[in-house]
Amino acid sequence: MATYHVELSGKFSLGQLSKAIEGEEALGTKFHNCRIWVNAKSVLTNLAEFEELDTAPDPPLGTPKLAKELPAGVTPAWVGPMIVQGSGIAQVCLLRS
Amino acid sequence: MKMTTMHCGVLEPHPCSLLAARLLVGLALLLLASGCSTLRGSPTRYLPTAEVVSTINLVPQDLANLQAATSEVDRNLLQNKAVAVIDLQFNQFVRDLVADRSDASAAAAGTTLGASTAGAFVESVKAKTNYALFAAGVVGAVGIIDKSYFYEKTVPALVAAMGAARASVLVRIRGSQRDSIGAYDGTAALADLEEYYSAGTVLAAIAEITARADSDKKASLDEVRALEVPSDAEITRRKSISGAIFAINDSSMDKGKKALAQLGLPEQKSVKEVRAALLKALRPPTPERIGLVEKALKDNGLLK
Repeated sequence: MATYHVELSGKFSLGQLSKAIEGEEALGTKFHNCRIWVNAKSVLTNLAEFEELDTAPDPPLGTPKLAKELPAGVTPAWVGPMIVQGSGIAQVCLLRS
Repeated sequence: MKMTTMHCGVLEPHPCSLLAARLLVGLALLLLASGCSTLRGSPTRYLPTAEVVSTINLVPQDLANLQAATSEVDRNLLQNKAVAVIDLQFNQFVRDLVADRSDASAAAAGTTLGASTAGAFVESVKAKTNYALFAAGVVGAVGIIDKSYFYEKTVPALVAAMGAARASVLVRIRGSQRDSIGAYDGTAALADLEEYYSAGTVLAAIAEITARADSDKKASLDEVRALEVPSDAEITRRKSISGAIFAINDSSMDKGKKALAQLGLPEQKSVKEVRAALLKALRPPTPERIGLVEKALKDNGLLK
């Protein structure tokens, strides 16, 4: 499937970042991954990759939620570094509920 | 401000304009001499970096002990000590890097401005010419400074790239520090420290930028869109629209095709292509686009 990139502002909180991802996935896409990135304005921020879907995901993706801690026994959908509210966080987990 | 110099003769500068010219040239020279330290944009550091680094007292034996560490606690303590020193010195390096450029350009800009303004104030043709020559000379000197400092707009990008490279290594270090000493031994910890230090150098930044150039090229060409934070109501609306599109099947494909036609989009042959084209029409998710797709779905009985 085709993928595309969008910027997730490094100024956002984890809650805002989660909502931004949920809002994009509501358009029939799936969060693929994210990495720290320097944008065209030389600002250190996040570059997220989304996958375009043409079929409803089965099972449903669930609501994405970013967290600093990984609850015991939970497998994250993604783990990686992010810029959150202007600071680099070494490990952010994307959980789905 | 009243332009008293307008009443003066062409060849005789007014005393006030001479005074203004002298003040401006003096200011320019002061800026050059002082390096414009008051315009650095940051207050005096709360504690001098060198003193803190000296007090932390990282010595070669610490690194040797790290290499030979036999417990996770010792390994992490020694590694963190070195990380702290590397961080402090990196931040000082960045401050110096930015301050050097700021000082050079502030002094040069101040001088050029002063000289040009002085030239404009003085009515004497000869004096004006001299000031213009002085300004040209300063601009020429700035060219040399720029060649030496080679970083007009580059510094922020280099600093950001160093930050990205350092963050990448630090992520690995923090992750590895949770591992047992057997899985992440002192030698590996020392190698990571070396890489962490190297990531904070200009050479590493250039390498980082070069390595990412290709992968970022596509993203740049696509004019990366910054996501916004939608409201809960907007998310629910989007989900109902995309849900209606996903629900298009063989029996409702004609309705989907009509919706595409209503949106002025090319006809698609398969159900998947119809769905994909309608979903793509939602992006970027401006209120207008979402409204148009929503209306087309409703008009064709695909969404209530």
